[in-house]
Amino acid sequence: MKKFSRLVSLAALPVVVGALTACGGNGGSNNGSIKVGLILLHPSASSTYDKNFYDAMIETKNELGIELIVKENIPESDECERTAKQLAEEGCDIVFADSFGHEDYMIAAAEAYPEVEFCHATGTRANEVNTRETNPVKNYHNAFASIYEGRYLAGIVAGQKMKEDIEASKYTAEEAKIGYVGAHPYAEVISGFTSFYLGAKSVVPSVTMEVRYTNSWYDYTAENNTAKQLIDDGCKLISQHADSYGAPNACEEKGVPNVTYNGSTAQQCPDTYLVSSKIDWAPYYKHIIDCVQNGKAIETDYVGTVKGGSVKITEYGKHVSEEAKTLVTTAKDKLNSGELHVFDTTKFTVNNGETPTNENMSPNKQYTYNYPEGTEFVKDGYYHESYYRSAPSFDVIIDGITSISN
Amino acid sequence: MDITNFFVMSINLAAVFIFGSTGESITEKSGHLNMGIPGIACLGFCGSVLGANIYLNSGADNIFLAYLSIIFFALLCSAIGGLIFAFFTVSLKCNQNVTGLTLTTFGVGINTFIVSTIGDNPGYSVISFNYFQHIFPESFFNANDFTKLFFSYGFLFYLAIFLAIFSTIFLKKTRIGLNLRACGENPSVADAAGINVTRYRYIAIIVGAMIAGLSGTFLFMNHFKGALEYDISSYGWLAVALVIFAMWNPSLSIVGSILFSLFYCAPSYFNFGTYGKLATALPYLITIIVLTITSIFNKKEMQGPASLGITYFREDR
Amino acid sequence: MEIKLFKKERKPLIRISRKANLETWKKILIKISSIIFALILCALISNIIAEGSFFTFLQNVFVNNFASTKRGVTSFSLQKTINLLWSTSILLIITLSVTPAFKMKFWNIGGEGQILMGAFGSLIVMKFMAPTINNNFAVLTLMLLFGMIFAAIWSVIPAIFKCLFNTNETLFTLMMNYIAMAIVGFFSYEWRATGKTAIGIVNEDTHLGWIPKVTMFDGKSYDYVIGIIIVIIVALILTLYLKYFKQGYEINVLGGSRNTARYIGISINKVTIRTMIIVGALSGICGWLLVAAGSHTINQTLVNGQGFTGVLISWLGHFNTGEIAIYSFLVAFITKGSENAASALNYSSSVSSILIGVFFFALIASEFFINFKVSLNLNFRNGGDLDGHN
Repeated sequence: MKKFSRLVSLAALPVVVGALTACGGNGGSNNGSIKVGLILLHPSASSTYDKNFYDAMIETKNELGIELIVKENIPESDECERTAKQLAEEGCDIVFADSFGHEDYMIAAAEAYPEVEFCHATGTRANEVNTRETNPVKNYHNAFASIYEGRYLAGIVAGQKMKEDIEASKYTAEEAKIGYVGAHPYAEVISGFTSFYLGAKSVVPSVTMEVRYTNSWYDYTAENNTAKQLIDDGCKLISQHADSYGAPNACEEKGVPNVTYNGSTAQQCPDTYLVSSKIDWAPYYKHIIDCVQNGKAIETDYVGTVKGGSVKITEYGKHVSEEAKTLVTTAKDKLNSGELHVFDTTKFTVNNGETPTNENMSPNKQYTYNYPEGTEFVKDGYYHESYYRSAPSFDVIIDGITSISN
Repeated sequence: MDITNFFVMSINLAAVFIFGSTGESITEKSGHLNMGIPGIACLGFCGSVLGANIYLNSGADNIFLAYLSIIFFALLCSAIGGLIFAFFTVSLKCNQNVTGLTLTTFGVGINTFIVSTIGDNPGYSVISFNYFQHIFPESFFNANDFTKLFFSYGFLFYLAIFLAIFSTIFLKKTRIGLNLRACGENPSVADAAGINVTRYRYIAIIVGAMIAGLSGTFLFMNHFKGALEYDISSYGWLAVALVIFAMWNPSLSIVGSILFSLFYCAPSYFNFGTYGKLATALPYLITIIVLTITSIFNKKEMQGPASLGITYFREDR
Repeated sequence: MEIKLFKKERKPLIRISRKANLETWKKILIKISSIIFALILCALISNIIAEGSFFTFLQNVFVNNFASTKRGVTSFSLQKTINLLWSTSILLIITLSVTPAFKMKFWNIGGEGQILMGAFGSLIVMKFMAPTINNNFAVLTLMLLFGMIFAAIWSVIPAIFKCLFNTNETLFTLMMNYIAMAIVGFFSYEWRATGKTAIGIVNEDTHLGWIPKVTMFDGKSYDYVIGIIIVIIVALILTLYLKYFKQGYEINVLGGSRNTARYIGISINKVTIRTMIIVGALSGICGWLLVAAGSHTINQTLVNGQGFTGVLISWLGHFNTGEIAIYSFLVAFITKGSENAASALNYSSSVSSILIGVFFFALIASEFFINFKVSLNLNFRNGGDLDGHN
């Protein structure tokens, strides 16, 4: 009896499908407008990281009138591959995924749909798959931004605050220590905190930094505890590369200044918030839509810049002095003109006093990123970050920074 | 590294588990296993955000009103969750595990939806930092390590401790508590003795849900400090586990929750080097070890109420 | 349930009594009605959240699970159908792997961790032994073996502790979930791919340890087909085992009454441990499938909470393979459908959690109507009821 009714329902299915299909298709046709599929790791409502991508895409949609499909809650598994393929199947011209772990699955989808562009943020493999001999994938691209420049500028604000605190005798120049709550010990994070440190160091030469990792991209309790640990260890200012309110809240609780990432906490943590740097993805989105519309090729590795509007400094907190703001504006102009480089090799040393050279600065063998042998990272007096590939490659711990568990 | 600070922040987090396990202990003592506690904690969180929003929109500036509004709506939302569970499992006599797990899914969805629709408001952090963090004056509890360890917490923390101890005494010493436990041990006998099993179970489930919902309030105001974080249910699951760990005794759940919380926070406060990720297994490993030890010495109590999880239907007698 | 309206009158207004065992077709009718009711309710809720979306929601649930739309033309999509059947199969085997334990009243909620450890075992073979073996069939078989062993170890530990020390298995298995996740998280980073923070896809170039694609009637090759067939075979074998073998009979008796089992001479400890080994083996198969047929990697979110969904489906399906299969399909169907709807109608995917909850509540409530009947006592003045009783 059960089996029979099951057969009936199975047989009825195609009839139902056919009937509903006959009722009409799903919305209008493309009519020349570009169709974009956005794949997010978490729901944009509950994750600030994904919300950043989502908001930029909505802004682009409103401006350019594209057709947009958003798929939320896509984990870093073969579900991403299925979703990406499905989006391509349903007529998307561009498919964009926002999380590091989506990369391998996006590549698989790109192989299956060569006429659709697959763009991925923070990834590292586009160069490899585009240029490999067997089965090259030309329609897969990576994108990132020179966020290290944004962090450098944020570091200047931090340094200036520390300088003012030192002058107000809150602590001595020797005690000037920054605490950094990092997620995982790899290039994107290391590049981030090193550039932040160098920005602070440009104002307070004696500053040091202590970095600890939570081993997770998003864990409120762990970030909160780690920030408190750093504060208890004598850090006078905290910054982080993690997505929750854990570190900002710890700072507000203990009265320690905080530089955030990807969003301003000015209203939630008014007494300690200084500044934040973030990536604005709208310029990239507009760029790739423009490329598809006009038949231009999308870069294998795209790096948005401060000048291009991809890297932004958000609002200043109430404790940021005018002097800090002036320093930032000056530095920003110099970065844009090329006069100033964040990873200027005269500004830092490695291995206890060695000048940075290509030999001691080349990315760790563990993180070779498959760069060709003899790639020159250090030339013209600075380390070329996000130069050959969009994803950061700087992963050396320089002097002045202590990184626990590397 | 400051050991006192570490203890203070771990003990503070323990209140989340104390609320959850106290509430669930009451429910389980009456014979019903509510696996929907993670969802109810979410509902409590949702209610707290609602209450905070209403308070902020009213423009009032009164600590009592803030507490009243937030706690009232948290209790209301969690009571609704408890009512749903009670209706399905007591009146409709549906399977408790299925109902509980469904309630969890449902609660998580409702919370994310409603809270993201209400939206963020910097006022939440203001309320949290001004009213919820400490009940004793700062000069008092910052005096030395001892006072910091005992007196630096907020109102909700002491409420959790009070509720846990009060529940234990209530369940053990009062007539109503005795009747409640009878419902959980042997409902048909209790029914024959004239105890209204249905009414007791309804009340136990709803009261238990309300207390458990306060864990959501604590998370919102004391742990997240007004930030809208959405990972609530994982704390709820740990509270369900701690009920068993504490052998259905809310007072013991204070100890259990603190112990658990210490090991939960340790990996992110102390340095475990490259084994940091592996160290996150510590609290769960410790729980298993303590569970084994207590099982060896306490074979009887580790079973819980005899009729736990079994739906009572008078006609089946 | 009693509602007392008059103080003097002691007869309740609404009386609930158990139904005699209902005919199967009636049960099915009630179930189907409740599913239809639930779907309509979900569509109504969707309509409230996004104006006018009632039919779009239903279309997304029914049509978009099997068809895809390109430039206004909706056509049947074999890929989507296979994807749906794959999601169903995964839920099915997850549920089946927890069912034997529930049948003997061993409250194992550690499915998540057991499957994860099974996947972990498979991955170890795939990553470290595959290059030397270099034969896909051999690699796959070894992966399956390792997966089953790892998962069986993980499942049998709580059983051993229960037999020796009488530890509470609910708590024990729940904790094992988290420990499994910590282990996987640790090694996922330890064995990370160059330039990454996690293992990433393994053997992308050689496809060693990947279950091969199958070319279907439309000429294209598809993933998951072999995986689906394997799940069906496993489901059939398990059903036969539970129904016709002595061991399956012993599980049923133990679930009915421990005392009865003891009187018959069934060794409770032996059956417990043996059943949990079977649970482990099934979890191992599931983990193996997730790695070999699915993601070809391992991370903490590989099982993605489906271990708990499996517990739910197991209960809903009364531990009966046929019902479990139907419910697995329905859950996958509604989940995917409401996610499609959320994406198409532009509201948050958290709404799909709400809708799944509503769907389950309706199914749970339907159990009530299958098992009980409600009668009204209207003739209370004389102290009698509708049936003429006094």
